Amino acid sequence: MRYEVNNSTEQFSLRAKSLKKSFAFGDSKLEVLRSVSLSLKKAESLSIQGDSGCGKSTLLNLLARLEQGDDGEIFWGNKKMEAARKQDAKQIAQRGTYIGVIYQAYYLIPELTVFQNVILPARLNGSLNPQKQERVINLLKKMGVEQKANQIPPKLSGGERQRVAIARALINSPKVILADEPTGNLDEKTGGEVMDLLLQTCEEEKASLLLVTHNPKFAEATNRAAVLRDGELNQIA
Amino acid sequence: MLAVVGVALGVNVMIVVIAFMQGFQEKFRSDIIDAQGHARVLPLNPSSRTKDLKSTLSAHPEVVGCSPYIQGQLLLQNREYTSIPHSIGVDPVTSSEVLPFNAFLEKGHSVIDAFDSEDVTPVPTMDSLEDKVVFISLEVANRLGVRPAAILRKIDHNKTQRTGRKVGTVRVQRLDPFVSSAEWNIEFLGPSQVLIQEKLSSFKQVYDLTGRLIDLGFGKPVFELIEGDHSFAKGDTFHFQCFRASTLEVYSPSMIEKAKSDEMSPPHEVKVGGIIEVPWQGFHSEVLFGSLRFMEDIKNQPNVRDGYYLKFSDNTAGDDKKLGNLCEELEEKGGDDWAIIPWFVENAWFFELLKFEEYLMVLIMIPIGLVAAFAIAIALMTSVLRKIKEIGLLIAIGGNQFSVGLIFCLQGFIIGSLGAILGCGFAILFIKYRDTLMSFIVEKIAGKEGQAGVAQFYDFYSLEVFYPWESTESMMTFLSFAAFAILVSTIAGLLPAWRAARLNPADALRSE
Repeated sequence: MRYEVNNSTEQFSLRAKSLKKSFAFGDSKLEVLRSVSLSLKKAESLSIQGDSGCGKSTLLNLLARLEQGDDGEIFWGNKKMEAARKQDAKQIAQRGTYIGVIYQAYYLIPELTVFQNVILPARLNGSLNPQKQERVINLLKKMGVEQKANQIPPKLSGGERQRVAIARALINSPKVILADEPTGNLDEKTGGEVMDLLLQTCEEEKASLLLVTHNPKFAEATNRAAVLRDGELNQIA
Repeated sequence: MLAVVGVALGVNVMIVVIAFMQGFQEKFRSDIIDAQGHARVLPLNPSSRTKDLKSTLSAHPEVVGCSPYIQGQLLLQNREYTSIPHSIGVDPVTSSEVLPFNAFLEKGHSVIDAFDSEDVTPVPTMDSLEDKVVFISLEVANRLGVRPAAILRKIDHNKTQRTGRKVGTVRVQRLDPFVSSAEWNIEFLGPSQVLIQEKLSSFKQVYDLTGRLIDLGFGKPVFELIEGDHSFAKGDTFHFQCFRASTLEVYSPSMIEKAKSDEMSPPHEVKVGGIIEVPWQGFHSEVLFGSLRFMEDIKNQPNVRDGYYLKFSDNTAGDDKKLGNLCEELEEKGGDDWAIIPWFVENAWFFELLKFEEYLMVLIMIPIGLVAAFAIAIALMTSVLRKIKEIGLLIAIGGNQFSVGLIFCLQGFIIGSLGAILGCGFAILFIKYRDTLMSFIVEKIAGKEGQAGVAQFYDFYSLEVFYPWESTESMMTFLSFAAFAILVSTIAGLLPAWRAARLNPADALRSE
């Protein structure tokens, strides 16, 4: 079944309509996303599976407005954005509070402590205050890494790093979490724990989750599942 | 870290070089003033040379010293050796008010190094500048093979004197230029009586001590007793070997002219009273100083003055503008026959040369700063590449291009600031330990002989280099180079900052 966008706006935190993206390699052109549409309700979780190189990460980048598409529309709540247009300063500023991102490789800044890494998005959007500092502690507690608050990332295990990355993604209370294979670097057991924690926290925080994963078990754990194949997104559950 | 060290070294080199250049200027300034006073009064026509301006000049409250001089060329001869030094006749009484002659004599004084004796020759002073005595520079002394009087005390290697107790010694308090070569023997007959003998002239005298001095009259050394922990006792003996001063024959140009027409007049014979060394390198290297009367006699021009050395109060001397104005004021008082030339006008060529050298140094050093800037830019650019994923992440989690760019710009600023602080610190340390460092470097490069040569010209060891808290000029040097380093480093950080800010976050995160 082709994944279709729902046009009623209020209840959706993220929508995409007819997203297109291609990459040029010399004279040839590789169409990664042909016409991708999706919608994500508030506090809903959606998983996307697909072969390596099929465009899953590119789709997340387009949705986070980290990359320009060729065509299509993206909606952050009611805010409509042309995928092909360059993001403006307002969108950049909004991204920090609307979207939280989690990557397979964690991307924690090695020179900063766990606490400093988690509070970084708040610092970047200028919302640093005592409440935010308290929230960091709470998030780290929720993630089970509060004891590591003053350590630097290289001293943490993979699972701990990803928990810190989840806390960082949630610090600004975003409406949407985009998680790009968050368990890709973890073993089955740790991956399962991290995934449970992610789903549970997103539910508690009422954040929508768009999860890119290769693991069918994790895909099943989300509210809905879809597959990206040949540049198109098909709902499977 | 390396970039900070690079900037620090650059700042250090720039500050140290300029501080030393300023130190040289200060040293040369002081040497020049020592050699010729704050100003010289010069006659503009032959008739004005006989006017006495001293009383007029000295009446001004800002004039603290005024001393006349006569100058010219004289021919000196010792056996077959000759020299034609620049000869200056000065007033033995007033010249020391203006020029530190005793310091020049001390600088020129050398000590004879001997195995069995100790050179106890007292340093000559202006007091011994009599009409038949001259002071000459070392170059003249070497050219003619002459030397001033000297006296050595024999070292008691056989321990015939009491040892184990500090019984005191005998030194030479005065050795006038007319002493004869002699061997003096002083033997204590008791605590207050000595037997003095001279071998060559068979002089023998029992001398009753009434004070510390043993003054045997003209042509003999004046000995001085220096008490030790215990009084002198019978049997204490001291031996001295005295060498007379060389005698020079002096001819004036008029005497030489007369000789051409077979009118021979006998040369003036003078004693070498001391070796004089004027520290200003621009001063005549072959020079003779005699008394005013000596020069008047030999030139046969009584009451003629070739000029006056002037010294002003510190209030005027410290400010070149004030000094120039005072010279103009005094010049007007003296009439149109005289010109009063301040030291900095007379030596302007030299200071222009030094300034030019300083500017040249700055020009040479600016590329050093630019090289440091390139090093910073490369280091930051490498940092951009190394942290490319982190830059992508910063944008992904809400950072904007401006704030990301600012990080790298700030890094340049911080590197520049830390480097400037560290460089200023290095410079202060270098200035503080300059003698040790310079000795080490010069000795390594030029060896011990080279070190002596460099020291003779540049005199690092006595060079006054100011710390920033001691002089405004030094403070300005420190501040300007620190500001230059910060500015260049910040600019060097702009390119990497611009590059980081322009990174596509998705490409940055995707990059390997």
